[in-house]
Amino acid sequence: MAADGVSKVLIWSARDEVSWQLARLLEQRGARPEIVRTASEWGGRSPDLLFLDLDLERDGTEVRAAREAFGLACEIVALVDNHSFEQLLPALAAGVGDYLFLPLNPEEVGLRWERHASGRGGTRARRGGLHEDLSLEFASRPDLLQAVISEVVEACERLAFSGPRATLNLRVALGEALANAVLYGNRQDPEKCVRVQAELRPGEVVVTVTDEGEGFDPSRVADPTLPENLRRSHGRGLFLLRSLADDVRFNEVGNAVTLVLRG
Amino acid sequence: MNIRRQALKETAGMSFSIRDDGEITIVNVDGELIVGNRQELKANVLDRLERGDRKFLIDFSESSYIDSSGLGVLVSLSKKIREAGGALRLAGLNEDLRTLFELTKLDTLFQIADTRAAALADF
Repeated sequence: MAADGVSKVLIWSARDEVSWQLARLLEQRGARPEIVRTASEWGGRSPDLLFLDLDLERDGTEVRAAREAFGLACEIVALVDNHSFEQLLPALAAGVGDYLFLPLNPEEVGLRWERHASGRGGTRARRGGLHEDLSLEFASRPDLLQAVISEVVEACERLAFSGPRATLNLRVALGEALANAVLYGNRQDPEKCVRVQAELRPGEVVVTVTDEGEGFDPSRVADPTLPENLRRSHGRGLFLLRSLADDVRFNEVGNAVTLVLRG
Repeated sequence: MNIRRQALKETAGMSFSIRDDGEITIVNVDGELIVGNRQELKANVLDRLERGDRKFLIDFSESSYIDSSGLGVLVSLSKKIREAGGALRLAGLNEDLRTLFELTKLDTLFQIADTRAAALADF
């Protein structure tokens, strides 16, 4: 891989197994990453691309330090797992432009390297303000839902559209899709993941939520606004989702739903 | 970002407060009423109902978001309070929350006041 846009790659993690696995995967694609365990080992390095393990991170402190030391030209990719997930939002706010989930998926690492090496990485795409893909995977825990929703809504406000279409329609419709995936699709099994893929462009968001469940038949869900159903305590999620999104599509199995919202 | 982190924690609890105004039990919802904390609200209100409280006001002035499971809990509480001979009023819904009640036609099921004072006067 000819790294036209990226030549110096630094991996910053106190976890040797993470560093070495990532380094090996990057080397397979032609990169020559260096590894540091602490900030004191930065020396005079000036990487174009920094992989930062969020296991080190506290409220964006390390990201800001790296941003200050390496400048805006350095792309920062966070390495995040379920344990450090709560650090992702502060890290994104502090200047992380992209992230990879642990354990590392070789294909994902390859895709990210291709993007960053060709200058199409996270913050670079954002600076262009034209288009961005978000890919997110999280364990089936209800307490993680709001962080995921906030992440997508904030990206929507930055890249696609803002106002009530973002803070009400997208927020609620996505929230219902995610809650369905966690509660009914994966039945809150923390071993099962929910995957969120969002394409954001000016005026439009397309987001797909996929769970690992057996799926369901959306045509068999009753209308909760009919008088006979109004006093039922369940069954409003799908209705809200359909009411608030411009287009809703399920896959054949019924374990993936795609929402389209326009500003 | 600290605010957001706190909001995330609140999904696990600590997002309601209850106080008495005469014979009326006032529940304040701070933040969100969602799948992560709806059971806490339900348990608190049902506990008060068992102890003899009959008039309930749930105030959403400090709340910005209710999901379908939160709406479901309100429907369930409304039914239980009514069966016990009590009354439930809602107040302080912002424009977005009102939209959700109207979409689901729950605005026809609940007595909703613009403000806490109006709801208190209505009991």
